[in-house]
Amino acid sequence: MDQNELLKAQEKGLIEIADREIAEDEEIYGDDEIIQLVSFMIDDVEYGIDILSVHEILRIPSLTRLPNTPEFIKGVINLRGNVIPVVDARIRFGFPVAAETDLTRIIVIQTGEKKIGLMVDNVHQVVRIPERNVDEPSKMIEGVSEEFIYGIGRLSDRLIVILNLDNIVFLDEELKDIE
Amino acid sequence: MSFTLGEYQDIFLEEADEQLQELNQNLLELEKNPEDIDIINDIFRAAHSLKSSAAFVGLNDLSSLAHKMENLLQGIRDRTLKVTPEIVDIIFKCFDEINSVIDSIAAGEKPAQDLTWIIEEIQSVSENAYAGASKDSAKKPDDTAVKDVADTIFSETEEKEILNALGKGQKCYELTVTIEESTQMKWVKAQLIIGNLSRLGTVVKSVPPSEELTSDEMADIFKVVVCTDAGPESIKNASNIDLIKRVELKEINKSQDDEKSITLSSGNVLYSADEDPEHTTVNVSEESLNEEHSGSEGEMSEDYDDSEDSHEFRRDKRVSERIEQERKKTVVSKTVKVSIDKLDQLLNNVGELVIANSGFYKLYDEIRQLTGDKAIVNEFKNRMEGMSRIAKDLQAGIMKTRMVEIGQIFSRFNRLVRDLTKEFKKKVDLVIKGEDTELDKKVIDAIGEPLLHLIRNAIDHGIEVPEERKRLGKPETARITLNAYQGGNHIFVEVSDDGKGLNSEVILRKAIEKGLVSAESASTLDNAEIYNFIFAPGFSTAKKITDVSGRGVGMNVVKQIVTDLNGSVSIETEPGMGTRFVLTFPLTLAIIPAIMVKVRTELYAIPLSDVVETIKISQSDITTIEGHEVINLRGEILSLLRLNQFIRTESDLGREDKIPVVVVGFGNRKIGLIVDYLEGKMEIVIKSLEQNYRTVEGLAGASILGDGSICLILDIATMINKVITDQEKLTVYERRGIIDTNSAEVETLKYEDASGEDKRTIKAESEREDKEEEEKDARSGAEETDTFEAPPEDISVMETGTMQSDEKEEDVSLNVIVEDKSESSDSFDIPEVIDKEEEIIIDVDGSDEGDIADISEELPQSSDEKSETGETVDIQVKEALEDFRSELKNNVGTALESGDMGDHMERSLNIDRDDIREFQLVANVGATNAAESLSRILNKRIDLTIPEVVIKPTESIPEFIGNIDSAYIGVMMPVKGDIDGTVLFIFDENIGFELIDLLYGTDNKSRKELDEDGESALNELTNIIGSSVINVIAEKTNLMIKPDVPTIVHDYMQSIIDSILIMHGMKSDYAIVMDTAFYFENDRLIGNFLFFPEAEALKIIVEGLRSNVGSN
Repeated sequence: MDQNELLKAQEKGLIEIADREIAEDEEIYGDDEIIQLVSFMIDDVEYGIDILSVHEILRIPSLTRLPNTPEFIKGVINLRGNVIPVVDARIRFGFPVAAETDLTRIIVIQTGEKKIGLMVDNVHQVVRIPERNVDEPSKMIEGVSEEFIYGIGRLSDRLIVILNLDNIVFLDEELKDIE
Repeated sequence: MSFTLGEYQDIFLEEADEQLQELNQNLLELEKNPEDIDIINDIFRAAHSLKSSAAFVGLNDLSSLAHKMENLLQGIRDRTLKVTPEIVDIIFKCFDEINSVIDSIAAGEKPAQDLTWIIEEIQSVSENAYAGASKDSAKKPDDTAVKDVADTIFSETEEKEILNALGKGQKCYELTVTIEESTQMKWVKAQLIIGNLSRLGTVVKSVPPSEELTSDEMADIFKVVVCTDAGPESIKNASNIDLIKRVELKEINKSQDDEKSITLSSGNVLYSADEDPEHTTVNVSEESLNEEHSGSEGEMSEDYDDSEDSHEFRRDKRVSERIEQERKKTVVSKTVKVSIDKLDQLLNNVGELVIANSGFYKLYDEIRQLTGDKAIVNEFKNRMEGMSRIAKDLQAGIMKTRMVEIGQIFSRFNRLVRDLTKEFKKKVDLVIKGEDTELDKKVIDAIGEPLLHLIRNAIDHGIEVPEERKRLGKPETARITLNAYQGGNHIFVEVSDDGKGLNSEVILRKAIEKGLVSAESASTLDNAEIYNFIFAPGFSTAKKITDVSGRGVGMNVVKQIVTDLNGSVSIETEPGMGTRFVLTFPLTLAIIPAIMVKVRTELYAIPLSDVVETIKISQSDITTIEGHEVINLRGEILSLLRLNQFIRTESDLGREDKIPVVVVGFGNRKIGLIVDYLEGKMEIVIKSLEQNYRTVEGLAGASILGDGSICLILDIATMINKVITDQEKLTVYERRGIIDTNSAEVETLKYEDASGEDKRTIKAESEREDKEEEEKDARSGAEETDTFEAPPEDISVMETGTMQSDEKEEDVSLNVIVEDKSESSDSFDIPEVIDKEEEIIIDVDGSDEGDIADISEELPQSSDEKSETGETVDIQVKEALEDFRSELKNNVGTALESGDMGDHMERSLNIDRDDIREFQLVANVGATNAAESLSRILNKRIDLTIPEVVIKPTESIPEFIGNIDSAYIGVMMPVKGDIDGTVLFIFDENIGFELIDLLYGTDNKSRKELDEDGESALNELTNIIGSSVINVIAEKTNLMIKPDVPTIVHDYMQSIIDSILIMHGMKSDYAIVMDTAFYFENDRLIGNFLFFPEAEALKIIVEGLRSNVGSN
């Protein structure tokens, strides 16, 4: 184990300790915030989006390709008269491209003033998770760079990567454009 | 944190801005007519409102400045002060100070202006002006504004009568009724109310007395005293008729100390058109009155439009002011301010509705195939079309609400011109025309600055100093004209001056100096190209820089702003005579015509305004220089851009294929855009990509098509910039090389209308004619070349040539959300499948390869034809008009016999059946309005027949309307203005008597003669319903039409009709009649309502409808 990983493990440990303390605090004071996540799977990683920012979930409508935009912009769709860009989650998060299936969905998300669509392989379920079970993002999450991550949700049997939606469309665009 | 005045800030700012504008405007007027008391009053009122609203939002400095100003104005109004230039200047200074305070607030700063100096200056000016005269007169600003009805004084008999009634347990009320100021024939309203009340009890008295209520000179307010068993509710109903603004009820009681005298309780507003919150607090002495509070409980919702007024109410309760405010209120409350965002949202929704609706057309096709039941299919189709029409109307309506009159922008410049002319010691008259032309709100908001620059430039550079003008033999006072008008789908805004004009030599020299053009290529430029240089950034020919112009930013900004609004600027100038700048804007910003192109399966739109022409070339025409493809197009080098490369995709074009090229231009530059397929012309709604994403290089936006799919709109400017940089790298030698090679063989193509719009729809007239002519051209062209394959009615042609729609297999639904520019009822966006057979080719060069001469021969020929056609049409129209009467006289008989008056009308008047139908639609709205008014006045349900517009021989009109042998009453109301004609309301005499009884609330079955009262009631009735119709026609045609005083004829039918014909000097045997019949609810005929427009009038109406149709 090299030093970096060691540090990280230590850090993780510290966080866990801190978390436990917080958890204990909260047990004392009760009253814990529950967040609800819309979760979806890409390959074997489960991602979650705060349900409050989910506008609606669509089957794939007709998509119009948007030229001269980064590869992860799948195109634009017509959502009741609004023209909405669609981000391919697989490409955005660095997964290999996969074909659309019957399960493919577009999650329409409100970020700030704008609406964007996130194209995902499937919509898994809605998960309830106490705020205290959400950890700071560690840098080890596979595929997704940390800018997109709000935190890691711990459930009894699994981890959910909670997405920070603000950066999904615009971050790194300049770089990709140059490519 | 930014400075704010709290929740009323926005309202305050907006209103202060309006008030200042009004003040500026009026003060300019006052300078010209210092004696005009109306203007003084207007200024005074605006200054006063400004004072109050400033005080309300806590701007006390501003308020006290306004107060001082008001004092000064008060002096003028009282004639104790004379309007001197000194005073006008100081008031203008006040306006400027106020304006700067308002500007700071709008910018979110705390206003820091020190206003003391100006207050002192006012003080000194006014002291000087009074020169010892009484200063007290300025202290009471309002006492001349008092306008009220004197307290009712009862005579002894009246008092007795009241006491008597009170003794019998009846109640006595005094009603103060305020009639809408704008109402015509107020006295009839008064009589109606008095009549209604007399049915409830005894009318003891009215002020003024009812005998005097017989002319329109009466004031807006009258009082009635009535003794009755009925409660206030019935009184309210009796007095609640159309166009009554306010009814105040006071109960009359016995005095407590003296049984023999009476007292009035305090007033209680029974009915008020504008829900005045002030009156919710009045004391009411009787319990019975309490329940009649008529919903005036602090209803503020109605007041957001003029909340400053109501705030003022709370601050100042002087009666005089209240009346003044109320008078103002009736004017303002006719409009509602709505944020443009809400309208856009609404428009969005309606667009969706239109799209959703178009889905039914597909469904309809399927249903038609599935069921053999024709009735159901037809019913479905009717409903579907009805819905589509409603959706269209809705869309057009919302579009229209975005339109704002340009006058409010124009009028701002009066002040600017005044100030600038003083500064530059020039004499200029500003002439304003076309103030009522409507533009999209967005254009209105942005157009101020370009106009400002143009006017500044005109005064600074264009117009000579008076001495110079005199020397040149021009009038010393120059003239700058602001004009706005609509033509086709465009609005034109002109700024013209009669100054010295642009000097092309100076401009060209400057352009070469600035490196905008090389000296050698300069010689090839024509004047228009040279003038365009003044729009280049940093371009100024001014020898000295003044603080208003000459810095070389102005014209660049003008161009920029206008271009941003999809508009264009053109210049016409004549040395020594003047310059005219014409700004052209599309009628609405949201919808643009576009050429649809395809690369493989992807559809893109190119705004038509960017398209120069569409051509087809061969692969062999393309020369490649350093990797850039160019062609020689008629001796000009045209750089090419392959759209598929720009959008990074493959192309379907094979090596041997003819290559479709859209030549697009931006500014002076143009390039050729190579596409795979041309898909024709379409009207598209622009949606921004930024709303949910960001700007994308090369894309101007997106549009949603009829099938719900998205089509992207190309941004030509970016593309051109990208290519042009490459083009400029070519050396002169290389250029010459290309020009020397053979010119590319091109087919010029026309744009086919892909939107599937009904070609019979009425467009704005000019456009329509063009189209027709061009259609003719196209037809004759087809005959000549003999390769014209498509049926002519499928062509909608634009400017340059004929469009070739390429063969393709897949069905593309090209329906679009279109603002249907025609109001015609029978045009819909039916999703249309572009058939692969629909191929329209004018194969200009035929088999003769590369021979461009063919084209050049072809083109002038067709343009000759065009002008020829144009002249012929002109002559035809003229002749037709000149010979109209005699011709019509000769033809109408046959036309009627053959039942085909349409042909006839079309030929002689250039009016076709669509026009008539259009007029009928308008007439329908008018007649419905009339029926509503009638129903309100008579308090009965009124049915009506759908108005028919017919052409009739005059002798058949009496039979057509009714029974020749019975006596009729006809009320004739002449209409005057832009058109002449007569409105006739005609009914059987017995119905006439019945109507009179209904109007007066009397029951006099025995009435056999028309007395004066009866006549006036019928006159008023006709006036009301006639005006309803006329107003609608006037509104829809943009014509000025005014009703005249009605006259009554009580006679046999024939005589009545004859009277009208004599009145119009109609000697001919025909008449064009709009006829509608009104019925009581039991189907009993009331009478016929007819409108006889004079023959020319119908034409004018039709023209008005046509030219107005686009803005509806």
